[in-house]
Amino acid sequence: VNQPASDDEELQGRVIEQIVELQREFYFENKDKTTERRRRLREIIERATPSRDD
Amino acid sequence: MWLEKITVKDFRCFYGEQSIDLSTDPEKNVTVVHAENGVGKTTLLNALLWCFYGMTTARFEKRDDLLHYDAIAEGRHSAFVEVLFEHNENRYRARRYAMDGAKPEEYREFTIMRLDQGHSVTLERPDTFINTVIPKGMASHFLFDGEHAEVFLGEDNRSRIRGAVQDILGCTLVETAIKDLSETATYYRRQMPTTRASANMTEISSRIDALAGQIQTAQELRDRLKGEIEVIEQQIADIDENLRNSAAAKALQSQRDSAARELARARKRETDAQDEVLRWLGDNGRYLVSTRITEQTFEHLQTQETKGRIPSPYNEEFVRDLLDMGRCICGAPLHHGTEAYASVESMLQKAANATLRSRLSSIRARLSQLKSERQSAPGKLDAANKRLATARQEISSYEAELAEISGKLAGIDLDEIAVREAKRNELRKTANEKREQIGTINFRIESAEADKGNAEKELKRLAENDADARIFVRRYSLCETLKGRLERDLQEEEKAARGVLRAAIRKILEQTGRKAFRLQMTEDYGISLLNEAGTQLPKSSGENQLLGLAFTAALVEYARVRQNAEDYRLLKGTVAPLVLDSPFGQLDEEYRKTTAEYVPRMAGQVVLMISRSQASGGVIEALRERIGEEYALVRKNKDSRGSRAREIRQFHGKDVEMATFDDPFDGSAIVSVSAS
Repeated sequence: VNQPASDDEELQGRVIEQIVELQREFYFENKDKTTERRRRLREIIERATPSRDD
Repeated sequence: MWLEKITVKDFRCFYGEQSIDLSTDPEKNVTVVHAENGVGKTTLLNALLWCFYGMTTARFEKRDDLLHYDAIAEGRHSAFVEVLFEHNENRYRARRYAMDGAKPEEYREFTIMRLDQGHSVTLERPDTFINTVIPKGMASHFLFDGEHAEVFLGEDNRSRIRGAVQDILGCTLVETAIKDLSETATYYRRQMPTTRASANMTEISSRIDALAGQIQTAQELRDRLKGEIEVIEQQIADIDENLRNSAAAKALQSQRDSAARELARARKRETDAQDEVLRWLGDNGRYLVSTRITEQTFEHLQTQETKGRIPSPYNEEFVRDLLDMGRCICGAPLHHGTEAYASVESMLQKAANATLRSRLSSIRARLSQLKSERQSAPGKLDAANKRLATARQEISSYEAELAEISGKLAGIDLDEIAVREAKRNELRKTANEKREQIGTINFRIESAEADKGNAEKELKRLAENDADARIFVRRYSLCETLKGRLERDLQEEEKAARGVLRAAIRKILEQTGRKAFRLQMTEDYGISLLNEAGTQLPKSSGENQLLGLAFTAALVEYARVRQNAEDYRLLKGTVAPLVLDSPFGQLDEEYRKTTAEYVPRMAGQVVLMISRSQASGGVIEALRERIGEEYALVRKNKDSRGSRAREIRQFHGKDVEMATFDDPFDGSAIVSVSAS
């Protein structure tokens, strides 16, 4: 029986989608810019885990 | 994708503008390029890769020297490769330039034009487009280098095979995401100690880094040892094959094969019996320790039932019916608010309902089962233990037999049998030592992973108590969780891919091989062929030569199957031409013929590059009906012939001189030798 995904799992699923989309963008553009890609990945993580001041 | 034409201009050994038209006829889907070594086969193969992705294979020497020397000497400063192709019913022209002395960013290096009737449209993002046609990671797997097919048997084959499977599976995005998440998790962890948290956190964080380093080093060492063991196993397989073919050792080796097979079976029985004992203890151990409790509970239930107390002497449904009807079974009326009504209603507190009855019934059933299992339990354990003892006895007996055979072989002073046997024993000893080392390393890895896990928990606990560090803990944890999810997903996808590839390779080997053998592909991508006795086939066997080709064919087929894959995390597969460079390796004539018959079925469009010796043994005859275009690469020399003999080959009744002299340039020329 499929259990409904918890909120956490749903959030993780959405974040994974964004991360894969980011990887796809860099892959198809032949961009070999690891630093830039990881900076953008941190932005995704930080949007998903806002601090109280955000 | 279907390739229509490749044009090269002043590219490497190809002087001036030269082209090759590829067969696009599905019935005659093979284009053959005849060329001896050093005339430009590898250059032609690399021209395709370079045009589409600006990359070349690892074996392409002097990869920055792309312009033809004589062209430079004559004042020309650019070279190009142009590929005309069809994709999804559209035609395209891709062209990549190399300019002498200029950096790629200083000119428009790569363009793709879509050719519509009468006009053309330049695509804005040619790199993106070509990656959707054939993802860069998959491209190199459509180029098979037969002279280096030993990659499938070499020491580092596991990681390369895994890489190939992952490339065709299209998990490049997930893989990069996992690496990025790992780096990002480390980034957040390192941020923690820079907050107001204690110095203790700095120390724990450094310890985690050190443990991660230790784990990685140990894993690398373990992989290296596994590769070394594989090489040793191959050497042992080669010795065994040699002994099988030696008249003096044949019978003993056959006896050894048989004993080794029996030993493997006995070991399997030992493992099964051991598992059964452990499983039994897990499942039934409680029956032994719970004897008294089971007895007492069962007796209590029985007594209470006899007395009518369990379940309750009356049912909830029955009491409710009386109250609803407003009449007791004795005939007295039951009106709401009367003493009689309250008295009957109070019975509901003790009444048994359907759920209670069902629970009691299942408790009774479980207790009965416990009793009967307990009675039969020791018998089952005894039987498993007996099987274990028998298996161990058999193992000792087969080991003794193998040692005896080895002793006899070591005593045969003929055909270097004794020397080979001594070498074999030495190899086995070394392999066992390495296996022991792997055992120790595994223990070290497990222990370091446990320490790392504890240190991470401790760090999280400390950071949770520090307001400034808490946010980094959340981010770190999220990265780790996502990484874990993606790793699990990837493992599942790879498992499925391995199954598909294994089946495809088996099918191909069945169609091309002539002996019965079994393909083995382990979870960590160790790939080998076993004979009926379960021992590895020697590296030099024709079957192993075929393995590389079968693996490539299976990858190409899997890429085709995946061309419409829906998973957003994975890149779609593709249909692309297969370029085979000297695919027949050292195959004997019979194998060449059956393999050549299979080549046209390996992909929709095939380009086959072969030398004179590769083309012998009925290869061309086997392919004849499927060849659409045929070319020869001719070596051009500025030097005069001198005393060199003429090298002439005949194609469809026409003589073609494969090396010419007193030419205006040094290099290669593409000459059509098609039947038409």
